[in-house]
Amino acid sequence: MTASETYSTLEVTMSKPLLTVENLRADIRMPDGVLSAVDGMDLTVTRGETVCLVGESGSGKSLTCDSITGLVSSRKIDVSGSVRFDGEALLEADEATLRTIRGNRIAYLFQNSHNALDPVYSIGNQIVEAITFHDDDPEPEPREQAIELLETVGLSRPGERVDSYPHELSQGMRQRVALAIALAADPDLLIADEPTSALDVTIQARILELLEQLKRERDLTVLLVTHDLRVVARLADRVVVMYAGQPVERGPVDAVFETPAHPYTQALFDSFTGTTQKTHEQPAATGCRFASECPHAVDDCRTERPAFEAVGTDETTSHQAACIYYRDGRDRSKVLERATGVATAADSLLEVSDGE
Amino acid sequence: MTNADGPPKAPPTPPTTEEKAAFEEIEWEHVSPADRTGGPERTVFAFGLVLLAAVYLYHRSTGELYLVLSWAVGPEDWLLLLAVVVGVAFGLVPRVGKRGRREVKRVAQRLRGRWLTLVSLGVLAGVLAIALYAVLSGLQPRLTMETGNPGPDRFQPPVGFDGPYMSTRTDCVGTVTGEAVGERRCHGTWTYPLGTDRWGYKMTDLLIIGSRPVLYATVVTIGVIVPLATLVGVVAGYYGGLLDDLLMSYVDVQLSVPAIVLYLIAYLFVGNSMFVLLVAFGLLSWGGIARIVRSETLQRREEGYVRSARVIGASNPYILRRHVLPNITNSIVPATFHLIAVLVLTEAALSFLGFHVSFQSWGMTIAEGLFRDHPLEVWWNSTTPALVLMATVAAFKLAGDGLRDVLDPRGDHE
Amino acid sequence: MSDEPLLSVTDLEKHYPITEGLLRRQTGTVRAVDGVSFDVARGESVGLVGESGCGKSTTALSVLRLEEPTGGAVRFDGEDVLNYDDEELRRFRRRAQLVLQDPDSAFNPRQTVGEAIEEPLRIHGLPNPERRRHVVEDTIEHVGLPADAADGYPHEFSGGERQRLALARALVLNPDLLIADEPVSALDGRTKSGVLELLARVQSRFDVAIVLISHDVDLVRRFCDRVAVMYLGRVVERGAVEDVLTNPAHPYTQSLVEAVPSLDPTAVASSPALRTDELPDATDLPDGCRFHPRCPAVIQPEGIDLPHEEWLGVTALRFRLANEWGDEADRRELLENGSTPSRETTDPSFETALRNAFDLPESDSTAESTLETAINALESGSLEAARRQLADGFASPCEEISPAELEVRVDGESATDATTRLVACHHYNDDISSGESSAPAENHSSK
Repeated sequence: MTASETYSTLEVTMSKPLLTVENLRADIRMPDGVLSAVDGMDLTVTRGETVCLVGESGSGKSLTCDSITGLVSSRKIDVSGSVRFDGEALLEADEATLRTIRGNRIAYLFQNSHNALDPVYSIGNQIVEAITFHDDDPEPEPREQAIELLETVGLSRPGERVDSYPHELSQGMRQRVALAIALAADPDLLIADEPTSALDVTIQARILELLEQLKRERDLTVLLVTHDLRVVARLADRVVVMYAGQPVERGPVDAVFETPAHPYTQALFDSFTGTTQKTHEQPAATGCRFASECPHAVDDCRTERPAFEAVGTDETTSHQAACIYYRDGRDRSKVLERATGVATAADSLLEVSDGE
Repeated sequence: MTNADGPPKAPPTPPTTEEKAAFEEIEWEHVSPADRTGGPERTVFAFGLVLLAAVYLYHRSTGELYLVLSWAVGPEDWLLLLAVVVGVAFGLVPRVGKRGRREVKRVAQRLRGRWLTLVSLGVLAGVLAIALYAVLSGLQPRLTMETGNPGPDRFQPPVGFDGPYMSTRTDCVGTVTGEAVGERRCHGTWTYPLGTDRWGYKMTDLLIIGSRPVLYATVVTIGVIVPLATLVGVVAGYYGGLLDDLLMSYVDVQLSVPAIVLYLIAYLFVGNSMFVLLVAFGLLSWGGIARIVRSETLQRREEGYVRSARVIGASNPYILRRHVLPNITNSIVPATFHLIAVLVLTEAALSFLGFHVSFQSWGMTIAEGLFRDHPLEVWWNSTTPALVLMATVAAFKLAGDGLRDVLDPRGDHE
Repeated sequence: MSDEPLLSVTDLEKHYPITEGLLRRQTGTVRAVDGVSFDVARGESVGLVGESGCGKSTTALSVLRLEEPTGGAVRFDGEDVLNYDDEELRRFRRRAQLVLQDPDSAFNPRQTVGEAIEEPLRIHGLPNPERRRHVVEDTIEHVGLPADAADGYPHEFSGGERQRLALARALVLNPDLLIADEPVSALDGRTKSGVLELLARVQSRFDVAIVLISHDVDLVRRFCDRVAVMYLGRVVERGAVEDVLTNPAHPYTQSLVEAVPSLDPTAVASSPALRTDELPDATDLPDGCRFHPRCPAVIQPEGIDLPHEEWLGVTALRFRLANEWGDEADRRELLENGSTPSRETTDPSFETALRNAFDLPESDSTAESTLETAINALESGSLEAARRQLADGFASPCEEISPAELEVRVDGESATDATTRLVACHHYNDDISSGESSAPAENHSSK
């Protein structure tokens, strides 16, 4: 696969990661015990790339992002592990430092732009607020910058719209404005939490297009959170698949989409193309959490938590799955047999030419 | 369809046999639709009204002062009885059935362990029971004459405390300590556990009698004011349109009339009574609750379960009763308890200012204890009724919030 | 089984008046549903697909008479639903059910789910509580949950489970028709797929007809036999799913299908070629074809035959003038970064800049004279005159005549695959689109 090769060369050149998360845990204290909502999350985001956290609702992907940026406000949640953002340890940082980093260097784009915008202020006002929060002495004038940003996010007639209020804008325009606010501080990292899930399909296409363009033109680094594999396919460079708080598979998007290796990833793909459904089993408490639902589970799965193993035979590949079938000496063919993945454009071209 | 071919794993509950394939056939043409909308409640209500009217006519024709025991009935008492009829019909009757009993059991279960709510409810039950006793027995405070002195025993301190000994105006039932005339102290005794006031009335009697406004405020609020507000709010919110406009315009007008002005006018022309207070402050203040209920109803009307109930053919009164009303108790219950607390405080404030709405109510007793020389020396005359008033009002507020959580199966609102 | 469809909706209309003041004077109309027709056969699944605000949910509510339609006809099993008396309506409520999108609000939080599922039985008068309980437990097992779930409260269940229970409540009366309004939109991944599969299983086993309302083209593709595509209160195209969604005929359907991102990371990203993303004001819908302000294939008027790009430039200028000419700064901006950077501007005149910005033609003589006059008018500051000029010269039939539904033959891979469907687009009306060069779909012919 050429793309994954390009990827590994890229990894060499961009040696220093922007964000490194190691063994991140978020434990929710419940009346009847502790729930590990995020359990041993490892994540690396290098400058200029888009990493996607993918999983179903309840997989802990949003909580992972909140833990990284210190947005976990509930006293019932204990966050531990190591988060380094450009050399700074975020979990140990005080609230003032975190606020500065959140305002200036890490921006958020939420799912529901209707809630993200304050209805009583004009959109220009809100962008200016984001700019001045980041920069005490903005140059040029913040209002000029705001108009420029609105143009960047593809809002027509920005000079006029800068004074309009959120309710005067359509769904798609509001999401563009939310993006403009996120970009106002010229952040190093954009965390986009389901940025298109609440949008209509044509608007969704536009926002995806816009994000793609911004990635290209502004060299944006994005941590994307979504359940929609189609959004992943469109935007991501690398993917981390989460199940019940644990990462189960990671790698370059092409490799993961071509050969989904973990049985959970396979089930997730099936849910988009064919039939698969969640059984009513609770995630297992020990070992591999997917063991209670996994069609390939063996006794070992329930006792020990599997480490990440390379999926390809080539040891240098970064496509890894946390499944004991990929351990040395195990027969992985049984699991890979189900790896239907996605026929890539190249493959389908081949198929057509074979058929004729 | 693409999903018809080979599922990757067996569905969780595969169809076992073919006869499970269809649901049990029901011969709908033979069952009669029964969309009951509160049959027994309405019967009991109608019966109660007739009974109340009969008792009223009988009582007027005999010209007796007392209705039962030593209960001297006034207009506020008829309002109270009307509220009781409403409360029994729409509060008690629905709890008698199987589902009602289950609900009561569930609420009782959820009450367990919520000691704050339990204590509040206990305090309220105690106060209301005492007030009921005071109303029914027509209790009057008795002058105290234990010491054998001519005239009543004034300013006796509570048990365990002492107060100034003023031989010129009163005598001490308990022991007197101190040598110099100005420094003698009178000690309280069990004869008057909470002491006596400037007239020689027992504080215990005064506190018992002073609880009567709480009973009127509670029963009339729960039985008349809130049902009225709920009815208006629900109807306006659910049916909308012109009806909504008219009802809410009326509520706006009513809310803009200051209750205190109305009360003062009535005070001048009608006279002073608990009835006037309840009408002026109670029946004019339901507009706020009606507005809350209306906006909640507007929200509930759009909920999926209301829509689903309409799809299955439920009638509007049924939907209002089964789906809308239970889900707005989150707002109604705290608002109700708040209103009761406000009414109790209003009565106390007016009595304190000298309007003597309910004679010898807590507010009046506080004022009696304060508006004299050296009020701090006889602190128990004002402090005990103030504490009781405070505890009652706090209990109403806490019980309101606690009940809201208990009634909601989803649990705490914190 | 009779030939007549189970449900037949004809020209359904639901208009909401906009009123002002205490006297409720009508000041406008929202045409939420405006002439929708579709049929549903017994046991079949029909998708109603369209973006939010297209009137698909209002259609569902009007068909079930949860909203009273203001026009049109709904026939259910040969009977006129809109003329039902109370007793007939009660019977209809047993036979036609609704499943809603939001699993959070589907159940009354104060009732156990068993009570909620039992409610239809109680309301329709099944007096025996043991029998009711039996039916309820049976139904709950059918949707893949244990029977004792009946004693739980709604908040104790996950979103997917609640949606299964909502389905149980809809099925407990054994209906013939089930309208599912975005039944899985609030769910994701395997939960979504699971509920969808359950719906399919229920349909095949109980022979219930399903109307699936969704904005998700993929979902309709996976689940439905036939589909009706809605845009702003009207059906623009309907036919068999595999035909309509693989080879869409209406320009709107094409945009909708193109907008769905691919699951293939190496695929070339497609993006709908809409002229604007803004939907018109619901109280002031465009005349003619409602899609024409966004349509990338607006038909040129008679006598004008510009290349497609240039024609789109002209319509874009008209659109801009009519709606959002903007203030001085915006215009300057527009002219400076004209949409065609390839054409180097040496002459800074207004006309050249404008022509560049909108890719306006210089070839066609009829068009040219109109354009020239309009641009001159604009330059001299007379916006109104420019608007009029352009409107007179370039009025498309799409903005004047409302397209009727036409039966259209669309060729498939081979001649035998050709299928017919109903499309409401002037491109398929030879009287209007004669000589039109840029048809949205090349492989069609009208019949």
